[in-house]
Amino acid sequence: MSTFMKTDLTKSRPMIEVKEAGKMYGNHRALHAVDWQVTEGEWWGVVGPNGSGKSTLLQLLAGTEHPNDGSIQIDGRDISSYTRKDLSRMIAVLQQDGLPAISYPVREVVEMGRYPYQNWLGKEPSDGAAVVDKVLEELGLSDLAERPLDALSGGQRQRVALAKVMAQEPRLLLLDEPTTFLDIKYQLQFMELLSAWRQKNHITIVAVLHDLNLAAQFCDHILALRDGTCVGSGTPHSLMTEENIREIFRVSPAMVNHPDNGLPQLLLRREKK
Amino acid sequence: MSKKLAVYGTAGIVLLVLTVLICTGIGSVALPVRDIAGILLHRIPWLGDWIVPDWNTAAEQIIWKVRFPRVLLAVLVGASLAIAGTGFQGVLRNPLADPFTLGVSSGASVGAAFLIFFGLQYALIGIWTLPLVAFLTGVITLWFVLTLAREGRKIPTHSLILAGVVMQSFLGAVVSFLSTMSKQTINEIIYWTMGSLALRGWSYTAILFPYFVLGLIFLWSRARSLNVLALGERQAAHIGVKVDGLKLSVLAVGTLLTAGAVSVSGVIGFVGLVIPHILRLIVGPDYRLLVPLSAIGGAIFMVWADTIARSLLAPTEIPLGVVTAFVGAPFFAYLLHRNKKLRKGMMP
Repeated sequence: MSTFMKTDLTKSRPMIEVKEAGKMYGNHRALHAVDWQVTEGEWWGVVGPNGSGKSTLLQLLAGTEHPNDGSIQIDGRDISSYTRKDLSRMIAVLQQDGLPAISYPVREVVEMGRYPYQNWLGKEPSDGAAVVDKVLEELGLSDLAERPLDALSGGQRQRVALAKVMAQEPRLLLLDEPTTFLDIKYQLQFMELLSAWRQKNHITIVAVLHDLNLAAQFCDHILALRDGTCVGSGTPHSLMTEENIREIFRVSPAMVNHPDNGLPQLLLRREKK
Repeated sequence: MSKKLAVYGTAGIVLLVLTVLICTGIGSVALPVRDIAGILLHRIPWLGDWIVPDWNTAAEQIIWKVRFPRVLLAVLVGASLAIAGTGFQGVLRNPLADPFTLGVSSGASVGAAFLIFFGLQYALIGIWTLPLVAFLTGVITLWFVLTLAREGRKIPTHSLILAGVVMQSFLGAVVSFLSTMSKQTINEIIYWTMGSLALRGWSYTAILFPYFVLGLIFLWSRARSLNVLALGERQAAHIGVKVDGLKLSVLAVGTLLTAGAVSVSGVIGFVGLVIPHILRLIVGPDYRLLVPLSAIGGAIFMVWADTIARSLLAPTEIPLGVVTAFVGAPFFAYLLHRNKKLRKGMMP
């Protein structure tokens, strides 16, 4: 996709339209009649307790699972009308477990992000190698390019995972708890890298996040799920209130405003005995 | 990547050509490499005119009618089994998978043995009957093994091997039973249990050749997808790989290659296990290199194994499967041991 398509003309176009979508696994209803719209360029955080259907929703958006009822439209077309490669040129997914410890060198793993652009001979019309070089440079991975993946630390490996999805040049990025296995330094670094990438390329981001404080600081909008249904959506200010948190997570927090930017932040309270 | 392929590919082909020349010379009548090269080059149109024959015609008969077709068949069988193993390991993401350990070879041999037992090897579609039936029984066996080994969506390494062993010993027993029952064709069926390339001639090479060429092209064209699959099935799907289609087609082509090899040479184990593994240690995990280099490596391995089989105890022939098992089984044990340590990281 060329860049001009992403600019002003299409600013308010819906990137994702979820209509009454539901998903069953056997007899278990993982998702129930979810309605949701994401406009191009927005950053959404999806929050909710364990088993609330967050990851299921993400798999539906990624096209690796299909809804039992309702529909999902990506960029104005039903998701099932795209081929797997078409979808992968538009949507990239980063999972919480990141990359397995395989012995492929970093550059080759990042190059795998170019797969949807390549024909069966491995050639692509644009300059894929240049994209890979640029991404490695941007994420400070150039020095590690020839190192095998299984020789890297967890934080470095997650950066390679990010490099791979960046090389995929998606318009929509789906993240499933991407910071779970990172320490706080790498968590913050990872979110800042995402933020910088988004500013530069105006991509749309949907991130399932466990850490509500990170979600409040980085996302423009938050979607809250509980028991497979949508129980709220809005800006961090409107959604992250003491009452809502109690409703969604069944804990009683203390809410404070962040001293730097005034965004709502959550402090946990111990149960009173 | 392409530079690496050029370097290793050239080295491999040089080794293969030397292997063919040397091993063609080994036998009851030893012949110098120079004569063999001359005899073979002489057969090539245009080029042959430049070579003046200075060898005796008896030697030429031995080389062209007996030894060379056998060596060439070893090349094709070894290459086919090795790339089949590479493909199986790629889609199952399991370094211990190969046509033999998965029971596919035994499955194919049951089909072949049945046809021979009832004297139907050339029924309906002539020389293609045997490979086709071997393919069908191979596919059925593979399906059984995979179903037996599956736990939910996953196929653990050890249960896959266990399922393969179970099928293998059962099907091996079926073939042995058939050969016991059969009076006149006993020798022919026994070939299929231990593997042999003796007395095959040119027609067998012609049967296997198209299988090998198509199989090689297909697997090589899927090399990038196999690389991506190393990230895991879900991640591969996110990058644009049609995972189910890839797995099915590679398993089918691997089985077809195995069936082709088994129908001309019987059950020869461990080639598809040993060769890709050694190559991984040398060139790394990239399937764009592993597929073509496995073909070359498998060919070299098989030519030497067959040379040992026919010349070590000459004039008695050792079954070829015995030779490869002597090398392969200890190697398999070593891999199993190593795999225990490397459980979480899939490929070595």
